[in-house]
Amino acid sequence: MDDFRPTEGRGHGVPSLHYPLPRRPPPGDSLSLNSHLSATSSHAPIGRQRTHSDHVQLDPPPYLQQPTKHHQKQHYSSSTSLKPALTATSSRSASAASSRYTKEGAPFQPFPSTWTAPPPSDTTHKSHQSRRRVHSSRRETAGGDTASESGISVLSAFRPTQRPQVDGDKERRRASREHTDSPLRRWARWSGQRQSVAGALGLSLALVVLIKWCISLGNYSGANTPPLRGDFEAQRHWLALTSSSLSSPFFHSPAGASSSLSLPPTAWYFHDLSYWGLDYPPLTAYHSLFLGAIARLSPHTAPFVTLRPPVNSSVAELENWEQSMVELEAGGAMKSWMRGTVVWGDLLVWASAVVVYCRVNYARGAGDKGWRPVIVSAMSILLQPALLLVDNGHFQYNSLMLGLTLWSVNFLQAGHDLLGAVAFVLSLGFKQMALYYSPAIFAYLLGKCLYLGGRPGVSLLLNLAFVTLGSFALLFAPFLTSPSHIVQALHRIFPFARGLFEDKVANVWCALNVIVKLRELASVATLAKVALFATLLVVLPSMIGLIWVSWATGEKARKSEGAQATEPSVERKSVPTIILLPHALFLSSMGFFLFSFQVHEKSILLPLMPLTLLIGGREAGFGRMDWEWSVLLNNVAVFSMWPLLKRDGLGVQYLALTLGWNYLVGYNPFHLRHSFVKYLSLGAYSAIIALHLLELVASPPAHLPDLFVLFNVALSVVVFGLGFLWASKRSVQEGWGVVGM
Amino acid sequence: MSRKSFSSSTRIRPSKEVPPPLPSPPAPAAAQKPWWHLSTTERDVLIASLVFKFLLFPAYRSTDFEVHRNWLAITHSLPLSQWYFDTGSEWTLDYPPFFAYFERFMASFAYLVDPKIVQLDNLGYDAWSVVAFQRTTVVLSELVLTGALLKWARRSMKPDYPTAVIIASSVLLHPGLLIVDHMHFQYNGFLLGLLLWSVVAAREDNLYACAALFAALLNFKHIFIYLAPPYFIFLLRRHCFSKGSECSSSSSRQFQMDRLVELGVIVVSIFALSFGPFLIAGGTAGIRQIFSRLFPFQRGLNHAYWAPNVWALVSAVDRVLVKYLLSRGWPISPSAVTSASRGLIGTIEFGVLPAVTPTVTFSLTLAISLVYLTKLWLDPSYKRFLDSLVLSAFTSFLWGWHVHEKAVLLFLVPLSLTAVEDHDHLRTFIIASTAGVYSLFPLLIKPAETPIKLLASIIWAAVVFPSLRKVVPLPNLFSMLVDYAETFYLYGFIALQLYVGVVHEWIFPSPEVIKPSMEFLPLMLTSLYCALGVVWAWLRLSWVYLSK
Repeated sequence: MDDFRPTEGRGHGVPSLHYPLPRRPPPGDSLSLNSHLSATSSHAPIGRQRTHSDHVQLDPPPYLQQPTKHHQKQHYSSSTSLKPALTATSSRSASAASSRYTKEGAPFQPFPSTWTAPPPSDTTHKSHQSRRRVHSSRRETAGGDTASESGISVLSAFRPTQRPQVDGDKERRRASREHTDSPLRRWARWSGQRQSVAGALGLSLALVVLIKWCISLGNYSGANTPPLRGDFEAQRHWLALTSSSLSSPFFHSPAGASSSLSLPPTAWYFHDLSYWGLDYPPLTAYHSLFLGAIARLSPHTAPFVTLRPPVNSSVAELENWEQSMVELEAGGAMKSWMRGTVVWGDLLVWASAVVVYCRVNYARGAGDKGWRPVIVSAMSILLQPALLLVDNGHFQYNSLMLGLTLWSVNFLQAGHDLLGAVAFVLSLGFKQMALYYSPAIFAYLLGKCLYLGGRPGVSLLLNLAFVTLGSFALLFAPFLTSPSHIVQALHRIFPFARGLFEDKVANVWCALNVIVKLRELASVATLAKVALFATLLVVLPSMIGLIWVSWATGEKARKSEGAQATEPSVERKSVPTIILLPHALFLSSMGFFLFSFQVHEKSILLPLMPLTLLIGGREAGFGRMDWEWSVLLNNVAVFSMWPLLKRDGLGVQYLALTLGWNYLVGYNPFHLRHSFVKYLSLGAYSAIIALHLLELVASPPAHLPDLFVLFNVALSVVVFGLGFLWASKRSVQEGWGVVGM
Repeated sequence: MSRKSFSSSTRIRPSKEVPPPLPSPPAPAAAQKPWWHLSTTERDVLIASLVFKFLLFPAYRSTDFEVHRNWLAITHSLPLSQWYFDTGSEWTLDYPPFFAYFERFMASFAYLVDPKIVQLDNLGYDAWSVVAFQRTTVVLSELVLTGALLKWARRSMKPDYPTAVIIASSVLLHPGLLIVDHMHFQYNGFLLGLLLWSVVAAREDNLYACAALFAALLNFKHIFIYLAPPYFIFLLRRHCFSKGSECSSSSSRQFQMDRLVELGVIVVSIFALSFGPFLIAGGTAGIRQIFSRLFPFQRGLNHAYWAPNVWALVSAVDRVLVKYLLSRGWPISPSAVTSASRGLIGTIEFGVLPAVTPTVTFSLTLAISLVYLTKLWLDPSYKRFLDSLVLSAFTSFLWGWHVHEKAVLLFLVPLSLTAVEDHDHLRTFIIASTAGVYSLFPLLIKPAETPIKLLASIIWAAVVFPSLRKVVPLPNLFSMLVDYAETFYLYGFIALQLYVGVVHEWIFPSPEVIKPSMEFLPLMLTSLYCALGVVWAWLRLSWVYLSK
């Protein structure tokens, strides 16, 4: 079985055929060029024809392509001679390998290498999308030779070629490239021409880090607002709380009265609950412990993790501590240090996961140029304004949770399901918010078990169950000593008593609350049940769909493969439904965001993550609509967090980063093609601008202090809801594509 | 990419060393477009720089921020005659009149934004409104620099347009400008923009504009007077001596009085525009007051933190000698032992070496400058003019009295324009930029800006240096050996940063343990190491200038 994208060309465990990649003959040596071509043509029949075509950048897949006339003979003979030797899978990988060959070592370059931006014109989108569709539906019929290598190409040889004139084609492509060119693409091209891949990637990541640091200059949540401060103080408090029990000659003790306090893990979930009591799962606590330990290695940073004196201590002690905190905040060193922990964690977990994801999904061939879309898409994803503003501005460690989830997706794609499950458990163990993703991950894994069916399926299911439970048990191990500890931990992590929603958040309940006062209508417990029911109702269809598609695909594959007992090789691979995963992740998390209980405005980061991943599809040449929706939802999501950012004093960063990011990815809503999303975007942006202007010049009436926030909520929830519907449609399309008729 | 092309025989393709041109029109086409029609590259760089500079709004700002706020208040609240007499704040107005008018102009907007900004007694006001306002004025006034660079790059012939765009972008995003203007807070981008406009005018032989712009610049900030001698010689020689039929021979040049008078009228009228209102309002006493503010001579040889120049090296030698002789029991005046390097503005007393007076420094500067000026007199070409500008700035920085480290921008920016002239210029540019930018790091004293200044400088260097190196032909064997030594010096900055950032704190863990004599060790090391680089760059450039 091949991977789901033929261009990837590096399938795992594929019985790959290694064609000798052509060496470059000396330029101008036409004799060696010809002989070289004829030599390679017998090896790579499909790729060869494309080397002469002008479609280096946007060649349609081999099986859709019509050979040019002067090569048809050669092609015919070579493909027939090759046919018997290849099994179904290897012939597919042959096309993959040959497409890699053309991409990488294409000896002919009909237009200058500076024009290397992928031109996602009409034809590109269609061809790539249809490639995915055709390819995945071809999985079942892949018993013998495939149509691409023999049937279609032979038939099409007798059709008149309908290729447009080369000059007109070039012009058109250049025009379309100019239209879709983006500063990020120009940057990738420019740096790629001057630097090695590692250099260009390193520079790009350094730029991302630089921008993160610039945002870090801004205020954090609750800066200089004693006594409670904000999320920054919460995280700092957890560092102090968890690391208080460390004692070793290596560790400096933080100054202050509370330094005598030593709290073992079992006390973490009980300590001082009124002052930022720990309410995140254990991995956050361990992460805090790790950072606290690092802080205490140096006498300069040890004071950063001073624990607040317990409630029963004297007023003088509390005042002392308060005073030291004010000094630390004014000094700026503590802020920088904490900001640094975010940036480092982000780089190690989130950025690495993004680069790997983009490399696997969006690379074009194996050469240096193949990295350009990777750099473009990775930078688009890493500079996503919503995440930067919350993590590096407002101050949280969301990127760690998102990064762990993305690592899980990466592992699933590579077929390492157990590692994927562990990564996802870690993500859940870092922040319970990752629960929003769990239906999709669960559905994919269960679907894979059904796809495999029989013994391998059951064994995978058992392994997954064992590994998941085992990693949960390990995570919670310190709290398993007594039932009261674990109950307290769970009670802290899932606070049902806090009400349907806290702040104004762009979800359905908060929006409905404008019309119907829900909290007066029913008790918290009833509302929780209603919310749970609604969430399930919204999330279940996509889950069931994913599971059904997996099962149906598996059935078809088993039927068609029939006699060939190739089951064991399948186990190590991802299954075709993996391409449904980003949309499924989006659907389940957006369903949770819109309908579940106790949602924060920052939780919009969760639906945004899988959607932002789809941005890279444009670089690989498919998914124009995905890209447009993704950018729209990103912009609206940042806007939906505006009240929060305004409170934190991050207005300049909000404006500069959002506009800058849109410019960087080359987004101009006026230049989109006519579609529903274009007019929705234009409408949404005009409303957003109008609302900002209104806020600038007028203040809300006295009896409606939250008026602007409510406008914000209403606008955002409508766009989010439409995005949800659209993604449902896309999922059905994709699922249809996978299952086939 | 070009490697994979098989059709190089039929099409003109750049060789491997020369990167393919940017996808932008070449110079002639670019020059024909209306100036506001930016190419994609120009637009990208401009927007990236704007976004980046907006993000730097909350960064650390020095007392210069309050200085400029106070000037806004002075110029807005007081009548013109009182501007240079006000002592309500310790940050008195000490820039020439044009800058005062510029502040007055901005103050009228500041009043609209927040009237508290321009209140005289509102000292130390640092609400978000004033921060955002003043930072915005820096970013907007820097558009003058952007315009000058655009003009310079689009009509540039010698570095071709793609290279010129890289150089122009490197100036616009220069880490030195970021540190001094957008974090520390000053208006150097605007002023250097005026300088570059006048340089561009000189390149196009539009010498009246060149003179007028430079005269205006002098009335914005008088530090540019260091560049006046080359301007004077260049304008005199180029404009007032008419060319005969053979341009190259200097004997055929005839002095033309009328041209000198024309230039003189332009310059004098600009000065009149600047000082005239003060003369009318306050008489000669007003003018004298302005000059006493502009040229305060009570300051010391070195600034608080030693600027990386010759005197830093001399002071260091003196310190070492004092330590050595003290240990040998020589009698040395106690005031000299405690003087210097204490981080305070004041006069420095050398313990061993002969004292340096302002007269000495000025005569040295003048003597060295005369050498360059003679060469410029003999060959008043644009290229030589630009080189002599850079060298004058270098000389005044290295040998001047009470030089501030921010003055490195004075030679770094014009030097950038000549970077791809030849291999020597490129090496000078690399060494001087690295040392100069690094010497600016101590301006930002808060930990939050450390990663930003480091990352911005590294990225800048990693993008600019290799791109420029590719368009400069390789040197001969001897200079390659020199290059190795220079590269070794450049790597030394990593070690220096490690010491300053990590090791020093580790050796002397806390302020109580620190030995008083070690307190300023990181600053001294930075200053000395940078001084080595700047002096070497100056020597190298001087050698090229004089030998060719």
